[in-house]
Amino acid sequence: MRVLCTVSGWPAHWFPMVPVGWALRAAGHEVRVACPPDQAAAVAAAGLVPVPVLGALDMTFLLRYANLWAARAGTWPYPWAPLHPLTGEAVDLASFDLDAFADTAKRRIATETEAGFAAALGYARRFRPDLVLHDRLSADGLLAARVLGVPAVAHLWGPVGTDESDGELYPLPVDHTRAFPRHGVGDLNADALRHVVDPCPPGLRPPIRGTRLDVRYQPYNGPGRPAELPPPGDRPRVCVVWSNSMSRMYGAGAYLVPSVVRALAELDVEVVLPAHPDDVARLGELPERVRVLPATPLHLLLPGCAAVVHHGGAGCAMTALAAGVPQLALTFGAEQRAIGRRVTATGAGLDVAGHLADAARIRDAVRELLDDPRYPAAAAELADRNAARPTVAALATTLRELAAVPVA
Amino acid sequence: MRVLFAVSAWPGHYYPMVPLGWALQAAGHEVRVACAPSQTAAVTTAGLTPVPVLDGMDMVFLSRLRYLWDAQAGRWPYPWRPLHPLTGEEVTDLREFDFDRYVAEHTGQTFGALVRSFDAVVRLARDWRPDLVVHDPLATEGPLAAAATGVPAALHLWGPTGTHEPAEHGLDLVPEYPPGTFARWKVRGLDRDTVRHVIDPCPPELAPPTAARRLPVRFVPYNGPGGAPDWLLEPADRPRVCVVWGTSTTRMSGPRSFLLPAAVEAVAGLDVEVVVTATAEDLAAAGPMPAGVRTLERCPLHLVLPGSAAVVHHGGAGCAMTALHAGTPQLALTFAIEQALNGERIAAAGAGAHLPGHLADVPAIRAAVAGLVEKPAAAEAAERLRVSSSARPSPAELVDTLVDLAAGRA
Repeated sequence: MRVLCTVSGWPAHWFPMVPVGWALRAAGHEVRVACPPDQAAAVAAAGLVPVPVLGALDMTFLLRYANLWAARAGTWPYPWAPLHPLTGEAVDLASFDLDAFADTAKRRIATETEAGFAAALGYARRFRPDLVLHDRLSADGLLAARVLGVPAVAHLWGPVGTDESDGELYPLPVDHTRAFPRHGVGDLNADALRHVVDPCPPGLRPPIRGTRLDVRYQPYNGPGRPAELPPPGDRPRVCVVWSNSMSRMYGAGAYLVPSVVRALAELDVEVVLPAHPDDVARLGELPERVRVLPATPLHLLLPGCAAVVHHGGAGCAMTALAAGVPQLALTFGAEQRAIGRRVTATGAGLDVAGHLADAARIRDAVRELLDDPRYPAAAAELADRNAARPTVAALATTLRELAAVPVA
Repeated sequence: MRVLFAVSAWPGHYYPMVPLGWALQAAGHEVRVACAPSQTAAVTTAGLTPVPVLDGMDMVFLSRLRYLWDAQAGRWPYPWRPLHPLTGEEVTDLREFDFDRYVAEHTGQTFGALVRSFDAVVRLARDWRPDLVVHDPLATEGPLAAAATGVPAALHLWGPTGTHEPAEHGLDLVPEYPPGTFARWKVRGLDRDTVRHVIDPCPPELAPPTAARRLPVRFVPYNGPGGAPDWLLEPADRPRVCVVWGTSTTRMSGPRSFLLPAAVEAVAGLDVEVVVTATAEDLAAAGPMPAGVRTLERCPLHLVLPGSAAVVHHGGAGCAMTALHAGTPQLALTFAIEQALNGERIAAAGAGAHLPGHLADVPAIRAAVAGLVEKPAAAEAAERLRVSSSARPSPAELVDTLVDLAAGRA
């Protein structure tokens, strides 16, 4: 069969779909990945075929823009100003004309969204997919599938669902231009996502509507090779991994690696820190027990680690979960906060709000993960539950069956 | 389970293994690809995890050596001489390159690199403890790692040539090493006769010769990274003929092998739509194209061929297999024994035609392509081969067989 994937403008949103793409190809199916132009290189580097036709909706812009509205509503929690969506400079809300900016921003969003919808539909009409697979925020594929009358399947990237009560989680794209009703395919809401692939094991399953398709979380963390790393010694090994997009979205105060390194220096642990050379430079002199590595796919790094500290991103949380490693999430932003809290609720980790995470709190939290055997036990339990779920290969078979059933 | 791939330093040798790597990963298995550092980017971009510890031989050099060796042995049908393995210039005399002397002078260096590579793969296998090794025919590191750690190995063919070709072809895909080569790792001789399992992606009509147990798999094309313009999805007004050229044919077989301009001229003279895909270097060397010819820089062939009425290529296994997969009749213009065998076998199955490079002038190419496009026989045979290929187990389905093999159940 032919499968059209559509993805939104952030690798973390569609990396979990990459193994599904492989599984479909390995079963002999055709797969194309329609994406915003800035994702094409990453799609190709994952071994899949990019079709870079979707709207150029930059996620950093969208999130910074949402932050401005949060600040106006009084729900921006950080003791520093939010960033300008275009320049990334701190915004003085007292003098910034958000309404005027919003007029332009809305037009820009509407234009790009419409362009993406048209391109997805145009491509789908020529490629004639039997099934469309899309990430939670890529409505392009959903619209194309509805118009063509083929099944659409949404793919979650972590423990945030399509039917969340907290609007700040942005569970679904908003159909500002009313494109769905204009195409005669109803409204874009949680009910429109009839099939949802959920890579979260029991204990973490997020709220959705429609049919849940269970799959084992299979980490794909971008291209890379195993780090040259000796086996762990006597000291527990703690991995520290951080996303640079945190500072881009929430400001320089959202780069917590220096605090984490200071905190861990007070514990009798070995630290592995995969980082870009530029980031290493701004960390200054590092304690002896900190081993800086080139950027390495996280799933190749976690085996042998006793704990991992990260920013609450779904990729980190899910990869740690699959590896059975207890995790500490230091979070900025609604989605990361929700992921951190949900992982904490399973007993496999802890979370701390990023702006409250000083070295002492980080140190105490990591010490708790290392000292209390309930954390590794819960993490191992989650990893076992994940491993017991249907493989991505089995999901490919399910998708084939789904494509064979006429859409009502 | 853990599966170690061992590959030689040429993407075309292991690209056919890539979908099997995907299949294994999607079924929850771990895959690492032992490769030369020169292959790190190509392996990574294919979605697999490289371990760049091998000391790969330069394949252009090896190919030139092979061609000169063939020429000295009288297996060189072309009216020109092969290239000097080191300089890349056409030799003026076949004895200009002295194999014995080269071996005497370079054995230490060559063997040093081999021993480093062999040591590295054995160390990797002992550390990582794979349950199974899959390797391409030239990557002796694969069977060595398997033998040194006591796990099964399967050789993955890259196309229609097998492990046990009739002697008259002089084509031994599997390298031979002197007795005692592997004693350092307490492994006995490794050669084509110690290959026990061969993963064969060819339709049964081609059946590459092998004495090993054949594990059939469906060829799934992976032709390197990238996409294709979406006009390729539009039906063409006239039959579409694709001309694709090998990425290194000139470096291996010399400037006389650069038939891309002749092929384009030949095809453009027919009432067909012409699509050319080649490296930027080759496209530049080919100069201005005839009116109406569309060019694509290094476009994955599997995205170009569906909807094409024929394809002209240099006989490389990747092109040949991708054309078989698409059910596209093919014309191979060849400059070496392996490519000629690919062309011959597909022509014998009726799905294409073969012209040895020195006979491939513009009229001959044009007549051969016209035959493929205008007469239904080639299209029918290509379609038959496509159907019989697609009846083979997919890479996803081969995984269970490999699990059994690793567990000693097969």
